Amino acid sequence: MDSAKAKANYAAFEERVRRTVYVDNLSPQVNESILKSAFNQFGNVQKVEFIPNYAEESNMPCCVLVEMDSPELAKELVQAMSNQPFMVFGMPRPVRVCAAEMEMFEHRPQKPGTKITCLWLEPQNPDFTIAEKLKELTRRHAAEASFLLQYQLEEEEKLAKQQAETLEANYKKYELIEKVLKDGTAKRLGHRYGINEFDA
Amino acid sequence: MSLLGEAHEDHTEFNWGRQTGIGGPNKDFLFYGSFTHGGVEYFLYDCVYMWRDNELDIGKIVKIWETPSHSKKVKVVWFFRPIEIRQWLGDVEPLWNEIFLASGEGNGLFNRNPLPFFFLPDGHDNLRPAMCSDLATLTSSWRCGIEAICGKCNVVCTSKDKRNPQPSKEDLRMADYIFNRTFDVATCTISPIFPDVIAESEVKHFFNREKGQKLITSEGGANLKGKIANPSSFVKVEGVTALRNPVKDGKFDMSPKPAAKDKAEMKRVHDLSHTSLSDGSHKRRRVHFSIVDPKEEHSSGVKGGKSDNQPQEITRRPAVGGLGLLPKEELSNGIKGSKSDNQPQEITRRPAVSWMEKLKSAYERGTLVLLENLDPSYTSSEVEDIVWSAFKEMGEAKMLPHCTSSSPHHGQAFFIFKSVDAAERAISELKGKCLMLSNGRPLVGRKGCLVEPNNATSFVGHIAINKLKLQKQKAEWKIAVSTSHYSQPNTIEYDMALEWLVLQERSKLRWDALNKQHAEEIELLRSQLKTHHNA
Repeated sequence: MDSAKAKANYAAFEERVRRTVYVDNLSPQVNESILKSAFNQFGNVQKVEFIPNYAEESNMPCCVLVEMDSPELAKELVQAMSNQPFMVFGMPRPVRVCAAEMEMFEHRPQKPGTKITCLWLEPQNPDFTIAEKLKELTRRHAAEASFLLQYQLEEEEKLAKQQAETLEANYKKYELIEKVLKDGTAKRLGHRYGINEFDA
Repeated sequence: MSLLGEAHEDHTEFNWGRQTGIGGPNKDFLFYGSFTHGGVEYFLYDCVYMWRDNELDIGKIVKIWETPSHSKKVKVVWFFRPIEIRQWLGDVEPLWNEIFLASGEGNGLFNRNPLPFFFLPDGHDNLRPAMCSDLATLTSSWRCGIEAICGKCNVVCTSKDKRNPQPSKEDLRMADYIFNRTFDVATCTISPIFPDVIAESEVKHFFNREKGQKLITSEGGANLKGKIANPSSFVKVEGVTALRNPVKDGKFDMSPKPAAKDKAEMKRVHDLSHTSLSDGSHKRRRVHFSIVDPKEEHSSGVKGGKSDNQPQEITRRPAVGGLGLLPKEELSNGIKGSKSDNQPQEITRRPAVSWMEKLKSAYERGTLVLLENLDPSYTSSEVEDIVWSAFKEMGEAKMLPHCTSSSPHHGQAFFIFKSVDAAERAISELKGKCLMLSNGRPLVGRKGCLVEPNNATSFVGHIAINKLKLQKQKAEWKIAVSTSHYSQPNTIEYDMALEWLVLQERSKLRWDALNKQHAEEIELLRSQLKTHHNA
């Protein structure tokens, strides 16, 4: 492999990473043009890349990499959106924005100069037991992580339901008041009790 | 790629600046980003005075190149003076120093015009009257030899377009000319709206430069407003390599180069061009150079002044007549090419859609394996290499991209083996023995499983009031909901959003705690490894 070229590629990729923001908590219905118009308010969007979700729960919120024109713009966006809630395509769940990292990119170039070695360990090797333990640990960690993820999703659902109920209740109240004002019930009651403000 | 000589000395004090690429059918067109002529350095996208038929015109260099026959050429986009388009001005009252940027494609009925529009002998005159009366002769850009350039011009764009950095008062005062409208040569209309692409060049090159952005070459680029074209070299900078067939045969050849070639050239040029290019304005720095023998001796960099010496080779007539032909394909080639050109080509690969299908079929056949405990910074190709060297099996790998809920300690990858047996074997070997990768990571493998993505129509957290759904048929409602916006502090939406933010923070803290704990456990075990594996 042409190492100079690889290095240049890698450097270009790094530069791209710096310019990109990672957006989370997106509705699955969001598509590229929506995101583009959303982020075009702040600056020129060069590219929008969806991160496909292969192994996790299927109704997890979508995440996206949005590449902007400059790293400063990306940083600004991250800061601004962490302080103020920004809605994309629906309310009231805001999106979460953070700076992109290399590992988030699906297609990325190899880091030049890295070498990987692999070694088959035999059971007699003293490290074998340690390695086995490490394997166990990996599995356990994966299980713990997925459990935490489940928990998080449940919490989010709970909050959403709660908010929906509150909103419904509030709306009902507003409707009630409006109805009463409109059909004169308020006025009549007001007259009865000597309150005349509803005569408008 | 070796860059050819950057300086071509000749008797008219002409020097090439930085070369930015090579193109053309035989790769013998050289594109440049700047040149020095008569002691003045001209850069791409400078505004210059061009000498044409006893008259000075103002244009912006958009391409600089040298043909294989060493003739230097530039491509210039016109600015029309009000008098030139008075026929179409109508009620529009231009300012005293206002000019109009040419845009759009000319009718290009150049074949009506028997004389070739560049390399024209001096006998070809009366272009000005021709332009006013004959629509067909309008053009937005023209190619000419470098010697027609006779000085830099300071042109400032005062358009309120949001892509245009607004000029300061100082800028306005120093400007020779200002412009904020375009004149479309195809429809002969004046409009304050700037199209995205003018003469195959992105419109931002026509706007003012942002302060601090560098041009192709570092110094001299300070004059961001209207760079004046270098008279000596004709720069034709456009993605579309309309440079083939240099105008030697007098025909205005705008034949679009095949797209593939475009891409190849662009890629090459991109490799060559400096990464000192600022991010913003010079995305399409594919400068193709075609060097025309500069017979012109006197193109001194007269700033804003008329050149007294008649350049001999003013045969390049800025055929103000409809030659600004930019065939649509060229435009789209240019745009397409440049977009992909900006990124290293190696990164763009197959879209994810086909991967989903592959994964599905592999899962059904049983050849899908999930590899865990990889270093998160590995790439898919590295994973493939690992499997090849460890199991001597070929297959396709895909690293799962990282998201906020993935562990930073270990990465996962899907691997599709060629056969079910290979997959089974690999898994059992990984279970029984131990494959230790560098960094003290034993590889873990298990049967991959895929989750069917369901097209959820509802999203947790997005609420809609059911009763209002009926009202929402109205267009404004739809727009109101689907516009992405910041939440205002005095709305219920804001309060709810804050609740979500709190939830997000809480879960983030949880993840952090979990990851920390994992890290400690891993560290503990790794430190016990007796033999040292590559760190």
